[in-house]
Amino acid sequence: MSDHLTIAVSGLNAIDNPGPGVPVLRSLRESVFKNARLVGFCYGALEPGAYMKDLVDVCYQMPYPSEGADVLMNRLSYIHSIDPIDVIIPNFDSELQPYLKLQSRLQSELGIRMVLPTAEQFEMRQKSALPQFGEKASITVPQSKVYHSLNEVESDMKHFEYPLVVKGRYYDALICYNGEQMLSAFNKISLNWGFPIIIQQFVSGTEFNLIGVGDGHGNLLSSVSMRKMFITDKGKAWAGITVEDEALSDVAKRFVMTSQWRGAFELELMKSNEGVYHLLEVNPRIPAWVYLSTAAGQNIPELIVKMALKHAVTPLSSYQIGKLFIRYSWDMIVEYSEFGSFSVKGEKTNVK
Amino acid sequence: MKINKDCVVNSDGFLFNPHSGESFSVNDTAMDLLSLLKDERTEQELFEHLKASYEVDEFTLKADLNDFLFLLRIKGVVDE
Repeated sequence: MSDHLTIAVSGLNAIDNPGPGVPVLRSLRESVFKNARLVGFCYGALEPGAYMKDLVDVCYQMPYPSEGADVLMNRLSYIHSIDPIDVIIPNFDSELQPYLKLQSRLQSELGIRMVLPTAEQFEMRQKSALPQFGEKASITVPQSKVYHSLNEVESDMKHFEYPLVVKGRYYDALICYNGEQMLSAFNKISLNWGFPIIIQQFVSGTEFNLIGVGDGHGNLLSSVSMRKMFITDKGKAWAGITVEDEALSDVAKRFVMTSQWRGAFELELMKSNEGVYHLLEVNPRIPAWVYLSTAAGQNIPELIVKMALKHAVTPLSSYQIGKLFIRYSWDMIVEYSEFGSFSVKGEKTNVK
Repeated sequence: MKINKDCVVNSDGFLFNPHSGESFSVNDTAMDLLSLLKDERTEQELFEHLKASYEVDEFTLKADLNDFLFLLRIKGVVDE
């Protein structure tokens, strides 16, 4: 069924905060779509996924999401004219807004399908809106407040209790133990990612992540839970193990039921020392550790492509417990001419 | 009490709790106790077993057993 299918995937970077693109491609290569033509969308010629010839057939450089939906549409129309695409899996939070805007045009004008949450669903899980969502879904969320300027936060400083967490709207989170650290983190994150900034109550405990897929009608089609075993200084899991906890699955069910989520998502949770799961964040996309779920028996990228193609899907109900992932870095050797050609032309074909 | 049916202990003394994702290395004495706990046991039965198997005074044995069982309980390894 996959011989003539073309699937495009973004997020092919693999720094210490890696994008999900490479593990998504790896999962697709092990799926019923293993013979599909796999296209990589990159934001620079140094994204390592572009050079992984077993995973990617062709790569295109893309405009940054900040350039807007029209620029993205032009680029996609050009790519589609030479390389007709059936399905796109966008893997960055910041890409979702332009793709959401283009979703109906891409399907009606170019026949490209995606599985995305709605704009309302995307907004309701924003860090700034999460406490209200938690209340609605009966999910425990740490207390937090949104700030739009330094003045606002300075006037609230006397009420803060430490430690607390300073978070950017899309990326970054820093734990602060006093006012000086809080102001420094506030300035650093607002400089990098802009406003608003979220200041959140710190919850100590053990970190768990859950990857899931909602069918858009309140049902959970897939769910794999992972306990972080090794965490980088950016708070990213570098090793993790699949676990099974009914209380954790219940959080995912309540999330999907309340939001009517469509597509993939990741829940980031902290299990407090009292045993309560606190929902810290909801990421509206496939996370970078997705290959663990594939290895444990639930191939979520395959499920997303099936949903995009309107194939019949059945909920994936079980997975292997006690499977670990241990991430590592690997130096690929690339000829200068290959890098140079990709830099100049903005596209490259991989010959296996 | 009894070991949680989902917890796994391998022959090298590696204990894994699939609900919490926690893993532990246990020594031979702990392995001995955990193998007994595959069946329902009382604390007194465990105490008697250890007393018969090891050269140890009762006071030390009681204290060590209490510590170990406390750990098993808070880590969710045993069901009461």
